Amino acid sequence: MFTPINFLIATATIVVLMLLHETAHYVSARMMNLRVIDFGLKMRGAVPYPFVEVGWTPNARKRLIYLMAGVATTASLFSLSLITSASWLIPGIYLGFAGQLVLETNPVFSDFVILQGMNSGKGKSDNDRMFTGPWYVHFALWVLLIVLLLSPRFLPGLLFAGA
Amino acid sequence: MIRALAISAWFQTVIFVRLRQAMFFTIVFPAFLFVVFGFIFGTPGDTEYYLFLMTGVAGATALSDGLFAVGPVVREFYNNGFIGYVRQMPHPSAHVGGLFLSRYIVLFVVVLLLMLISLLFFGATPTPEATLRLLLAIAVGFTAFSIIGLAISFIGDRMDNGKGFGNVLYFVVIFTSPAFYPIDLINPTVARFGDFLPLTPILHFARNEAVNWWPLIVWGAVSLPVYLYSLKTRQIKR
Repeated sequence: MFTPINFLIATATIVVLMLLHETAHYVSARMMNLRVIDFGLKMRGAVPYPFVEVGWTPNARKRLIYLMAGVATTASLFSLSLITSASWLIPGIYLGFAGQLVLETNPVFSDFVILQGMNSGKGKSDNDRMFTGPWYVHFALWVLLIVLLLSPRFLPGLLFAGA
Repeated sequence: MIRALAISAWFQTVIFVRLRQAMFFTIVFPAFLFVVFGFIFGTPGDTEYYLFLMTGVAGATALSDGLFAVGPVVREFYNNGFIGYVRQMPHPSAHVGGLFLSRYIVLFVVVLLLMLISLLFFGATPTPEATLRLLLAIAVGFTAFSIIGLAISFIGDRMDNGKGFGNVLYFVVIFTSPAFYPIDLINPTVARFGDFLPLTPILHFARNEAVNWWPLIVWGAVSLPVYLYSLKTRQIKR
């Protein structure tokens, strides 16, 4: 599975999934009448990345839906393709989905971290939240996800035996 | 003297345990790397790979601790004036010795944790001889990397200068050494470059392979005078 051509396909897949992720944030914001301040492409060093910026809302439910819309889109697409045994889910595209899901759920700079930050109230920095008990639970679940998605003993082994 | 050393080592270990970030990067992060790499690239029953990976992760941890956990601490002693108090103590060398001793203890705990993971997840256990060899390699490596870390930490007037250079050195060493993959099979040219860096001999020794100690000796022989010279001549700014 870890061949150069699969890595190339995975990179292209991740680019498409990132655009879909941000589109999901944008659509959810518009549907809930949140104020979209800006959206488009930003540069991080030499790497462009899509973004959506919305105004603050005191409504916790809206915050939750807005922030989880991106990862929910990726997870839904991935789950659907698995359930329907989609023919286009070749190893490279699978690797892209797995990589994107790992990125979107990481315990350091994902939407989950932003959500925790918004819900933990004022006066707590990212450093205060990191390396605590709940953070370690998130970290352990994330490690489990990496292993399940990328270890040939688990999902890739079941889907692409011998690939 | 022994009592002062033991108290200082205990004091440093307590400080380490209370630093949540340090605990994560020294203990949890190596375990994370071992589990993830082991599950993704390992094949059940391939004991050789798991022991290769375990020595690599342990070596990388010793490198990171050596570069970032001793030099910056000693420099901080100078920055905040704590070194003045240390010099007034009955056994000044015991304080720095305690810092080293506490790091040896922590690294040995890391090796034991990696062995436990290796046994529980991958069913691979090193022989007693291989375990002793790994512990010795980690101790020698950490000492050498600490000397390099001390020299780097005192580069420039500000703390950030040394940190930046240390980060570059760390990543270059990791990616050119056989820590996580057999680099000499993947890219022999990069492997030849890595042979001149300090981690490679430590890994070869830990894996009971032919060792060329000269690169490590040269790195140590250059770093120690640089550190001592920097200590005497440079003015430290906070």
